[in-house]
Amino acid sequence: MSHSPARSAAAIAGIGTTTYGVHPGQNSYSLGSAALRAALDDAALGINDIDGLIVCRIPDYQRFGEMNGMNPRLAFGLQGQGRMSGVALELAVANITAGYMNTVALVYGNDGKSAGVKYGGLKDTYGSGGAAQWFPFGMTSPGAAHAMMFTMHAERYGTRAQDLGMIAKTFRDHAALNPAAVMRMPFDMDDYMAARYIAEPLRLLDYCLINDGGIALIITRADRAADRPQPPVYIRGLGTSTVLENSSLPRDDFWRPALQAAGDASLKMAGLSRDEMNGLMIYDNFTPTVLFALEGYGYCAPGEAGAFVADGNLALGGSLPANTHGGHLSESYMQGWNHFIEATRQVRGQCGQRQIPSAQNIHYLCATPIASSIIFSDTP
Amino acid sequence: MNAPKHSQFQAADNQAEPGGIRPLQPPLPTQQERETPFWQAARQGKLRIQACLDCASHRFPDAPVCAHCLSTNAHWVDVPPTAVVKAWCRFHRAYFEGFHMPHTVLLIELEGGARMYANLASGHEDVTPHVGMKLQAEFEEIAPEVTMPKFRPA
Repeated sequence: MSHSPARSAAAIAGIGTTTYGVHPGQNSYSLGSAALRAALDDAALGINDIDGLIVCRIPDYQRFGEMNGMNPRLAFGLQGQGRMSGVALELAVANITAGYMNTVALVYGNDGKSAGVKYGGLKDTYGSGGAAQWFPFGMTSPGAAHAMMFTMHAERYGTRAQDLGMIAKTFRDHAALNPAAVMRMPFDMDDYMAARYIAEPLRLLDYCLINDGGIALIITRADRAADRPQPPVYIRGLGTSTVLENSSLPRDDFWRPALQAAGDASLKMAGLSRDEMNGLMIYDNFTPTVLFALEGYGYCAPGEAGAFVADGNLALGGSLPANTHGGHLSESYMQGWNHFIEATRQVRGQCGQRQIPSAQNIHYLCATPIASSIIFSDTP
Repeated sequence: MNAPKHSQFQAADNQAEPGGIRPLQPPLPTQQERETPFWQAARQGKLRIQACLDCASHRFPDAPVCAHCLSTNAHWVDVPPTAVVKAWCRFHRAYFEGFHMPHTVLLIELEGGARMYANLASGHEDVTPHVGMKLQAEFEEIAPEVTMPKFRPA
């Protein structure tokens, strides 16, 4: 049977991160540079082995390349939105599959904590960049937009606050096993329900954690990855789809058509079924997106994700462990990039106490106006 | 002199003050926005929305192209002063000054299909909305020469 030429054409040969937290005196360039050096060390490669550079949230690719003494064949930057992590990975895979590139460095740097980045208020640009037109109505912040989508879900399907609480609590329990996580103190459902509202019905513990940090991945041709010291983690399946039309207001379809298309494409490329996934990495800027992802990517029927998470399926030891690092909610809001790192570590078997037994296939799900579905695998 | 940083509680207290302290002003539409037929019509107590001349789709805010049929032909039409709630949230964190706290924001759909964010009318701020709730517009002056359509349960 023939399959997509992109299936496992590329693999992750190296990963690198800084610590996550507050890094005064650092900026996205220095954090990205540190992560890049760590990723190159992990891959046992040098800066001159990189022929493609994609930076994300680092304002200028030229300054970054200059700082790191690089002259790759191709270099560019992507916007600092979380949805761009999946786009960056897809561009790396596409270029490698097409034979344009052999080794691509993806570098992410985020100094949002030290820079005092606010996602709500007068500097908000969420949506289509037209957030300001809603300020007279008091509407601002991606958290509030997700709160609105949750009211739609809750009132249509009976989804409960406790379901969101279970997501937050499960990921915090995972973070307790992860020394790199920023928030590791477990909490119970009473603590969750007692947390203050930010944009009701969302509470503080439904929100991700803004921090500083840098992350880099070295993506290389699969045959070359096999020669590197780390076991290759193949990008076995990948799908991207968008829903930009009417996307600046909360959509009552929860982006489902786009998620479905991206998910199906990635599974078809990988030649795998959902049953063969050993774990999930779910983009979790706010707890409700976990529900939207589970339903949109076909792990739950529409309306059933609340009951699915309440049953403990996402916990280590459950049927489909998710965000074993703690996710954006408890490890750090590294905009999808730390999910790629955790997926790689799980497939390599490097997760210690939080290791999923025989984690051969890990599925990354991102529910945003750009839907990304990526299957990381130990087998091409 | 820097203005003090107002907490949500101070903002609410100031609004409740019967006199003396001028209430804090929420953000206003820009001058350019105020000149659009939507905000102009609001001053006359009407809801006026841009509509495509070719496929009749309504859109808010105004845009140079119809996202439905890609036509650039458009005009403005008055729609009934009613709406239905599609989603809602209630801000407990004050991102802006001058709102009654906690501050409810509605996602509403107008007759004709345009969607926008909106607020509850004065005296109805504590209503807990639900998806599907029917609304009636009221027109409130939020600043000199700026009138905003707000909504109460119908």
